[in-house]
Amino acid sequence: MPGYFREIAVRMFAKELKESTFMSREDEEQYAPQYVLSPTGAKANRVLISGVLTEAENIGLGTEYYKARISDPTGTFTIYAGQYQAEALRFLAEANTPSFVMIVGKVTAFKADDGKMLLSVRPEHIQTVTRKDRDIWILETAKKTHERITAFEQEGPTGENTETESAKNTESAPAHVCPDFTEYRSMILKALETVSA
Amino acid sequence: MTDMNETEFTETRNSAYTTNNKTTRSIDDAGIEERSAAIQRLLADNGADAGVPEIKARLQELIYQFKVPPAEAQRSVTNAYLKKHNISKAKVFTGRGLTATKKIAEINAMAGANDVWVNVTGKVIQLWENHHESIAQTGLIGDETGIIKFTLWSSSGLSLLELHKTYDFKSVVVKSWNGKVNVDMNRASLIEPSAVELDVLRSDDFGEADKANEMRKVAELNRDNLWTDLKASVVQLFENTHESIAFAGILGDETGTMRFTAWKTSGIENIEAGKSYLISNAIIKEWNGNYAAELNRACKIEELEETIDVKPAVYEVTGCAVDIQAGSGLIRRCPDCSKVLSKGVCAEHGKVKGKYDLRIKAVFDDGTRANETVINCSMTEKILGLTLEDTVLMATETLDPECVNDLIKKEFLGKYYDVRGFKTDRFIIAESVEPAAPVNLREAGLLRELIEEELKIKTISDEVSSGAETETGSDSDLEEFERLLASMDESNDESNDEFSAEFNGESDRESNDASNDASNDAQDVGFTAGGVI
Repeated sequence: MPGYFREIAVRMFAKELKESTFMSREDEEQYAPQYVLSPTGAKANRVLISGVLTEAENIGLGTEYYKARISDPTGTFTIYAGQYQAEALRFLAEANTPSFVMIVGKVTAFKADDGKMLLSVRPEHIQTVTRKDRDIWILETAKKTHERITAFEQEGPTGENTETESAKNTESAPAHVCPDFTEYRSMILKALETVSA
Repeated sequence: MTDMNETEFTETRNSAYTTNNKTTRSIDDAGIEERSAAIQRLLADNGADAGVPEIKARLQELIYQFKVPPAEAQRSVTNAYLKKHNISKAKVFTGRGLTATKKIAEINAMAGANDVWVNVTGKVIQLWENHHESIAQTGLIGDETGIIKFTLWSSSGLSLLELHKTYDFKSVVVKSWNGKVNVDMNRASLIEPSAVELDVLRSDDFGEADKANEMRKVAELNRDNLWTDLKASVVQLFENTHESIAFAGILGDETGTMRFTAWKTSGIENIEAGKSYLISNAIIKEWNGNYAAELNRACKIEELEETIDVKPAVYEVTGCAVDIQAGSGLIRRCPDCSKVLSKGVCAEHGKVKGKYDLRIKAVFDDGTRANETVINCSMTEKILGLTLEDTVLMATETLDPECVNDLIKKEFLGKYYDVRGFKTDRFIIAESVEPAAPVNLREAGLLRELIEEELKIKTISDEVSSGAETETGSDSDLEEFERLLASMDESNDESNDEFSAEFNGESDRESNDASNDASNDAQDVGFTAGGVI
């Protein structure tokens, strides 16, 4: 299939996703993928997230519409599943809390009343996992985040999928001001501490 | 005979053309006279009779009454007569007189030229697999100077060439494509058995591009349309997906592995996984940057006594199963061609009673690549702990073939797996799929140490350069920093006071700058290390 590629599921801790900014669509096409840009320079459309499912509630009026909170060592992810995420919906309706879950999904955004963009994840798949898989995810996400930070500090923001214009533009910015990643390094440490011996 | 005709005709045509140019306004009778004579001669040479007055009358009608340009009139009249007497235009106009007779080396040197008409004498040295119905034959012809690819189009109406025979090819067209030269034999071409028997240049002497029959290693097979011999071991055979394919799979030697396809037309009757073969005259094809060997009619294989060692080309990845793609689970295949049926219909054979198969097409995402992986029936059975029959039964009982897929999704999604297999253009053909090993604590520890170290350096350089207390460091970071500070104090005992003083403010640091070597050293450490992050 020419032109088609599957979006990589970007590994990101809750804190980083929360502080990501929504990128405007690159072209006007209705089905053009939407991306968020994270503080460490990841450009993500699809994310792989894991944590503890702490609550899942049906907030739909009439139709089922589930909101769930997934907590990882750095913060909380919010996910929403409606009728078009039938599998996830069924899962959330029957899920036990608290339990470890792994979610692959797309990042979406909506504007809150105060004009702030709130990011959430629309799950494609959600599954109960063991602590083992959660730990693998933590280490993997820690590694990926750290790689992004080092890459950013060395050569500026890379963005994980750099084919697009906007990513190139940020890359070619002549003298970028390197942000202070201390808080994100601490975030990684915090997460790593939960990987048990 | 034809040669004479050609030259004569061209001459008349040329002269007619010049006449035409000179006297555009009025055409004198001499011009018509000349043309009529030319037409008459041409017809006479081809065994047809027509009187000059009749020809003249026709020409006059066209030129004077209908104002047709004289050259076009001559052409039209000539064609009308040829048609009437049933003489092939191709035969008469062969060569058009401009056609030069060339040696193959000369033609090969014409790379980039297109639509150049030539005559050439050559011996048919190879006939290739024909992939398209509009092509009657394709292969190689050669003479004592070189070899060249030819294409004999179906529309040419020419009779087929025989292998190892020498022909005079007249009015063939030289075409270039991708820097390679080819001769096309079309409707206007004329092919006659040659009086001479040509000695073809030995293949060893051919240019690099055309080199055939050289023994190569798999790693060297990296050019499209490369003919080669190789000794290789068959690593794996794929399930056959097309009726024109006899065998497909992966072959390899100590330098690497690649895919191969043995077409039915190759006549190869048996290839077994694990055995080693001498393969002569395989052709390498490139697709999407990957190379594969094709074994066609020209190819011969011979089982070897020795065993060719294969470089292990296993692709290993640890990734999270992020998707189970459509076409997973219980599927049905066409009993004839093994293609997967869609709604009970085979793309090739229509509605058939399919045979069941079990497979998984999973995506194992490792954060860098989405590894699409195909897991075959036996591995799927092992993973699910169910046999193919069990799943068929399940599907029949629940009246839902998708239930197997649900089972697979429940088993796989969101979990990490260690996958080993062979990487093809798009898919990994799995050889083993195991739940991933638990997290490597040593690795986690090392990463922690590294990040802690980076934070330390960062904190120091921040503290020292700004003199302000960092807000970002957590408690543990501060402790870390104090510990470090203490150790530095020990080593720089005498400058202890100054260091603390400096630590309290930017201006202080500047004023004390020169007098405090030790604290400067400490700073330097901070700065350099900070630059390295």
